[in-house]
Amino acid sequence: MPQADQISAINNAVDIINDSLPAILPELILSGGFVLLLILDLISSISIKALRWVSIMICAAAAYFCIERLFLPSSVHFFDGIAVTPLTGLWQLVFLVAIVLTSWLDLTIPSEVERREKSALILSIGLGAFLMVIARNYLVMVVGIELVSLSSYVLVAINGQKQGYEAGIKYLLFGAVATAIMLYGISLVYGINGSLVFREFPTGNPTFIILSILILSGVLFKLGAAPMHIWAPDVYQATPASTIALFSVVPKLAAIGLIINWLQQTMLWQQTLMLYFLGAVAILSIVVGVFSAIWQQSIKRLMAYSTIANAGFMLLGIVAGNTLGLAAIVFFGVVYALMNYLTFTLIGGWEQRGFSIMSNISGRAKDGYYTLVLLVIGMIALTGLPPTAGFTGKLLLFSSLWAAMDQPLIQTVFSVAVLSTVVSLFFYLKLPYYMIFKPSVDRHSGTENDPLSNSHLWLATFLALPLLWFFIKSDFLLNFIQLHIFAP
Amino acid sequence: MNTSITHIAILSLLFAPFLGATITLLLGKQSGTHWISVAMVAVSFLLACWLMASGYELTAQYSWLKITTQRSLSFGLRLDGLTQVIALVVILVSLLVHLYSVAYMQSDPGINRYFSFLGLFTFSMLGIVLSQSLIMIFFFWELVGFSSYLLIGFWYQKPSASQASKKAFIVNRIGDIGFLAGIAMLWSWFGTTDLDALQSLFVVSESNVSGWRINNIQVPSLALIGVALALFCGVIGKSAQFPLQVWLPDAMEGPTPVSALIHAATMVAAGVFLLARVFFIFPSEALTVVAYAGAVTALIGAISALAQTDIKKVLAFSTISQLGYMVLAMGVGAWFAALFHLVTHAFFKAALFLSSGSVIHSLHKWDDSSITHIDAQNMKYMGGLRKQMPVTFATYTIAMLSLAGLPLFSGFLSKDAIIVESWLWAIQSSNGLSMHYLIPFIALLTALLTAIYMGRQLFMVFFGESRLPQSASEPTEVPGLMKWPAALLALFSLGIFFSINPFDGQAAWLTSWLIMPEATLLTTHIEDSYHTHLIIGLTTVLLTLVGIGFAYRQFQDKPPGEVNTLSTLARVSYHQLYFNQIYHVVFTVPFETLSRGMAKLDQRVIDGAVNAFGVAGVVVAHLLGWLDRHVVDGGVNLTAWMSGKIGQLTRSLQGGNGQSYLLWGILGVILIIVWLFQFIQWRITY
Amino acid sequence: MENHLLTILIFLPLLFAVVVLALPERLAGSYRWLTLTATSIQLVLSIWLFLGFDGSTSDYQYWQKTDWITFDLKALGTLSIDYQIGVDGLSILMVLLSGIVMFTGAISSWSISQKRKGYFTLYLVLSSNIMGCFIALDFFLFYLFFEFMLLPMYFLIGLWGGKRSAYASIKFFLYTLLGSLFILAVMIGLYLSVIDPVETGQRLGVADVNQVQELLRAGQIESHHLVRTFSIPAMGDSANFIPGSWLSITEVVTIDSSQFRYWAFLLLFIGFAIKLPMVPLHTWLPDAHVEAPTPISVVLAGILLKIGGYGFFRFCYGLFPEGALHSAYWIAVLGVLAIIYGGLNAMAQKDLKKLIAYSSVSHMGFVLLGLASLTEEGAMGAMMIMFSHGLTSSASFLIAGVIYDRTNDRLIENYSGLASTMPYFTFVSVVVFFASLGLPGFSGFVAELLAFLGAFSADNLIPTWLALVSLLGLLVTAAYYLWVIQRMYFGPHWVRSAKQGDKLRDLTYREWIMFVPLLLLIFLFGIMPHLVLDAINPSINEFVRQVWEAGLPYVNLTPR
Repeated sequence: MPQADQISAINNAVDIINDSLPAILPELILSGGFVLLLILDLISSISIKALRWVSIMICAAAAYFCIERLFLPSSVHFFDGIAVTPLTGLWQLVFLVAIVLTSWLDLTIPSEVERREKSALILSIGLGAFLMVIARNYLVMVVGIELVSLSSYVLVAINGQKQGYEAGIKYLLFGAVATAIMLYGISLVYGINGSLVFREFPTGNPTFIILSILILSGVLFKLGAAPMHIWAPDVYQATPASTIALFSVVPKLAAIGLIINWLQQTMLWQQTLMLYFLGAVAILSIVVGVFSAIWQQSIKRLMAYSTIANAGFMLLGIVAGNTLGLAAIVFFGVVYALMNYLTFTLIGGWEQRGFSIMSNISGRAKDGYYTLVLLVIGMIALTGLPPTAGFTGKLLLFSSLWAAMDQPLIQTVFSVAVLSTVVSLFFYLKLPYYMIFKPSVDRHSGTENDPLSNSHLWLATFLALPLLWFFIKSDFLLNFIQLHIFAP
Repeated sequence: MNTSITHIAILSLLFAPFLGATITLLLGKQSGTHWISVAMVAVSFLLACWLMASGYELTAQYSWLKITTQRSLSFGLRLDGLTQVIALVVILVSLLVHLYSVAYMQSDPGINRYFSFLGLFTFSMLGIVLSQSLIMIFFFWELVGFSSYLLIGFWYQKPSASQASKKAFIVNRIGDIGFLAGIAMLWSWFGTTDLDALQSLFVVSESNVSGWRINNIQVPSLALIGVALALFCGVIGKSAQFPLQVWLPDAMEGPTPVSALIHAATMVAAGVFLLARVFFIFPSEALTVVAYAGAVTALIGAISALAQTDIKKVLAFSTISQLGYMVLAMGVGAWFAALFHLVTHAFFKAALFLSSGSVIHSLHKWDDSSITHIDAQNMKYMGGLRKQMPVTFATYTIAMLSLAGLPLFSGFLSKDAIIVESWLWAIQSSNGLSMHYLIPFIALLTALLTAIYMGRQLFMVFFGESRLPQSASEPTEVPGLMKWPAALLALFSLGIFFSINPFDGQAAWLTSWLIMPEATLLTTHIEDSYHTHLIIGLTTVLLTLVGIGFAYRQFQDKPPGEVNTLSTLARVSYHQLYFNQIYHVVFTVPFETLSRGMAKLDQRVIDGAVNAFGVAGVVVAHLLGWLDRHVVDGGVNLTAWMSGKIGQLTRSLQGGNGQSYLLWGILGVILIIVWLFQFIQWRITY
Repeated sequence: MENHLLTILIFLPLLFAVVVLALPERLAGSYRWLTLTATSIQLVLSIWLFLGFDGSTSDYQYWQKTDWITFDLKALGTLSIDYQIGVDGLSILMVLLSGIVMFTGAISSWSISQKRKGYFTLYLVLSSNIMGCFIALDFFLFYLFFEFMLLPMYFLIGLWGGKRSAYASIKFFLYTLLGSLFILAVMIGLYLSVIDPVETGQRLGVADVNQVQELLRAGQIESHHLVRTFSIPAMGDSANFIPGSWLSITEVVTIDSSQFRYWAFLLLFIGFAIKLPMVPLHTWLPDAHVEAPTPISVVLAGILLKIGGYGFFRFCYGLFPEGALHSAYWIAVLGVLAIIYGGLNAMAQKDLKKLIAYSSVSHMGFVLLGLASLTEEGAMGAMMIMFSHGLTSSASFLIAGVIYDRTNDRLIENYSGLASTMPYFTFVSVVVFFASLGLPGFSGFVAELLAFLGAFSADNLIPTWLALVSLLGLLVTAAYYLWVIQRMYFGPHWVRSAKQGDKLRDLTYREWIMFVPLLLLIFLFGIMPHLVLDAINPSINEFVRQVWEAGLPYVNLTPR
């Protein structure tokens, strides 16, 4: 190619980059924030609380631009690499809120045991999630997934106990292999059509289903869905409650956002084989999640299986294959985040008192009835009973399934989902059941018997109220979501 | 104008006893309140006499419950000849029993409770007699059953009394089920249960080949017979007819005046009254069934009465037998004769019961004063009481002769009329020798048996020497309040009271009151012939005299045989032809085992299924839990142990626990791919 | 003020519950008084509503509808959930019954002593949910109250119950939740197939409702203009169904051979049958009753079972008439099975409360029988049975409670001859037990008579032999009630648990207050049933007419 063309090609490439830079301001802020936190961390005179506040400041700044992004028309930048749409703005807002909540939870943990790098790592997970959601190009997708995975491996490993190391190693190995499978899939796709953009997916090629499964396996790992869920119980058991809350919300919702984008871009949305695959994964995750949770004694492990089941529920929205399903997923995602954070706040409070298994909290209802009320609200929401938004979430998901009720796949998925709710009630009720009915076993005096600290209770109330409000006036949230999903 | 007065009169006649009952119940503690309920019954008696004298006819309708614009459940009052006669009999007997009970129950602490139940019974019995619609009859029908339950189980401390009351109510309830089925079927066809409305429908009905065309509804004949027999079930239950007669002998556990009022004169007669009321519904085939049921009951009652030792049991079985007569009469179409027998039977049976009550009462008083302890109802301690209790003896003899059916007594008039009618009916409907002759033959045989067992009781109780154990005092005559009401009732059982000509039942003045309703469904018509009338009359008198003579020779001065020394025939009769034992084995035992089986079934199978779901869930959970522990943790421990081992050998191999994760992860993905290809591909293309 | 009465009726107890929560623990004595005032206001209100109820029309009274939630479902149009409440003949009796039974339950909760704050809050929440269930005319609102009733019941049975109360309460919760999920599935199917003609008209600018329905039938309304609704009156009218939707009555949408609508009817039927309870699905009731404390047993038997029956009236038969007509025979068979099976089980029970629980199962069988006959008498009988059984079963459980309070032992064979030491109590028990076995003069008789008349005159739906078998129920009921009376009250005086000397004391003043109103009502409605039934007569006749008119074209049956 003559030199002039090369120069002009480089020039317009630079122009494209210049005019698409302002579009990704929130991502830039986060990466800048990450670097800033690392540097500040080196100056030992700054206290951990200050670091937390700085990260909350950064999130607030990024949030401003995400809210702005909600009202901008969707646009594509970086050579069809990323696409900024109001929906992605919505996802990113949820991630930022999650990060702020985790940092707030970290504030409550006594400083001597806490790690200083934690806030930086949390920001990097946020950045990775941001990238996953806006990705239109496999490169951006892989960068996003890896950023989230690597920072979460470190987060699991650094919390000091021996258990943490072991879980971290397992998490790392499992994550690495999953990414390897994904990269293998992407390389095959690149080999076939020579382009890394989602849109040019070789659906014509007879082996398209294998390619998509290979790629998806990496994302499913992040989602924690059925065949790739085995890491979750150990990792959840070994890490502190505030971090698990982050793990259970941000990577999962990012993965769901990524799967939705990916399916839309690659037009795999209409392929029945694809829907059968996702249906199978959904059923498997619900069944595994719900049934193995029945017999768990450790609270965190129980919550791990509950998140696996909820991941399955979110996949239901995709399997339904209609726009109502999409809105239902986003609604359920927001409510899911609230429910999880409420429950993990309480678990965090118990954790500080050394209660990790059910029998520790038996008979604790007498310590503080308010904790019990909050716990019951959380549990009802997770089961999906009416006075809480969990019900509306499941109602919308089931309605989207109903809309496509004549296919046999949808009927089986629908019945599995409905029956799983009954089984899920059994283990969700175990927590309040232990707190009230079981006689209190190890009740020696000391600080253990007074109710949870005020900060935990305030945070839990702050999370419980929207759960009730989104039931009573659920149209605020849903219409807000609908507005932004289908914005021009 | 006069209808409004009669209206008030009927209502006050009906509700006076109820008012009395509630007052006595509420003022339970004060003594002497029982006189209020006696006064109330006297008031309704006066009203009944006034109504009878005034001869008013009235039918009134109230809508009890509106269902649709066309159909509504209705209650109504009806006053016609039949009602007035039966109401008068009921109230008269009830009044006399009330008076009698004042003395009989004097020493009993629960006297107020007794009188309030008696008032409740009179109220519900009058309810049946005065009601116009079948649903109202059913309403009071069960109330009568309830009050008899209360009265039989009056001495509730005695387990046998509460057992008998339960048995009475349940057996009545079986009859009521049939009755309700009949009512419901009539309701489903005609949308009303009002007797006048039904009567007008049935009168205009015409029979066709497949059944009857009533109110342009084609009713198959089998269904109509079914409904008629369903109504007859109610009669069987209440009047202790053949299959359901087991409760009446046990009902003797109640106080004797109760037996006199309820189980002799009124309640058991309610069945026959119902038959009279719904007579127009019965096609002739159904009536034949009724006749046979009546005959069988009469025979069974008579046989069982022969060898009883308890004075009241004999009378109970004789009631069953006489009721069999009345039902038999209804069956053969002798409407008037049945009701005439009902009226006469009410008087002399009440007299018999009251006098036996007097005997029992005086024996009780004697037993308390003397050191011995005897069962006051067992006839083996009685004998020769005619000297100590002359008035009771006279009352008893008159009533007994009337029951046995000697001329110059009311019993003869009505019983002879029934036997004659049955004989004419047998000639008529069979034209030549056929099975139907069995009915008059059984009637005659029962007349003989009646004479025998009544004679036996008379001679055993009043004649011969006293069989009481030696003691200073002797049983004395009962106070006036007990012996004169019984005497009055005995007076009413004299023949001249009912008709001047002692030999012709048809001449009784009652015929002007008891007019047979027009029943088109009946196909057989009976002409009366003087010739048969005379022969049958003579044979019945002859049989009665033979019976009494045999009884005199057989039982003049001997106590009733001990159960174990009885001959086989006597033992069968004593044990009431083993009906109780049969029913116990055939019905009660399987009923209880069935219910216990159902409870086990419910406990194990259905509840088990629910628990099985729970267990299945837990088993699956365990499986997955095991998988989770052994595959994940086990994998860790296994690999830790394995890696330890390999570590010692090679020191170079890296920790294996991760690999087990990967193994399961990749295996999972591959499994899904395989499944997709094998299963889905086939399903899609196929 | 007129149509705000119902809202007050629902939210008043909630208000009191908040007050009870707010009061500190040392004022615990005042909780039961607060609950009593709340329930007595509710009782007065429900009586006032009943008296003001216009017995001549069959449409909804005290009707109120305000917008609550409007979802924008983009392609599927908008979903409008309204706070719609109202009362008609089918629910006014149940509101009155709830008022009475909750008042009685409040009095009988006087003796609750531990964790009183929790108890009385949950009791008030339960009472507001029950009222809400009967008054809601919007399926979503009904479902909210129907589901949220389970939680207070779970805790009330579990915490204040007997030894095995944890097992009984979790079994109750899971079993009823399974039923309610079936109902949820049908509810979603319905709202996706039904539009609210009025609001769609506003959206399209077409005022007249029938014209909107015409447009809908012709399919000229684009799907994003449709306003879908949960409102029950809209779901009842087949013109509001979107042609081609899952549950539309016009086209046949099949799910492997049998029609969607028939599956929807079956799911609804099972959901409410668990609540009724119907025989194969009834095993939670005896456990729940035996372990629940007396006041909760009274409320559970008094009203909660009636929600199942009310659900049949309003939802199964109201929304899917052709399903009801099609399976009337099988419903009748199940009803008769419940009557006989429940009765036989009751005979074999050793525990008095279990016996009364199984008798409730048997009585609820009559509701099914009455309903299945689809005649005016049968439907009125079914409604009257629910009302009269509410009264008699509350009284029976109070009797069991009286005995349990004195000796902490409910086994029947441990008692004999109570009549001699507790005469008044015997009088009350004999009256109540005879009222429940259907003795004339009490409300039970009227109800069962109507049900039988209905069963016999529905000769095209229910064969006569089945009606005859149902009559056996009378015999079985009489058998076990008389056995209990004879075994416990008559015969020589002997009580196992009581120490020899001390006589069982007769009814206390508080117990009299509970029994007298119930006995008076049972007697009053037995003698003059028109006081109660005339008010609901037009609605019941209209209900039967609508079921026949809507269902007949789809079922090959000759109308009666």
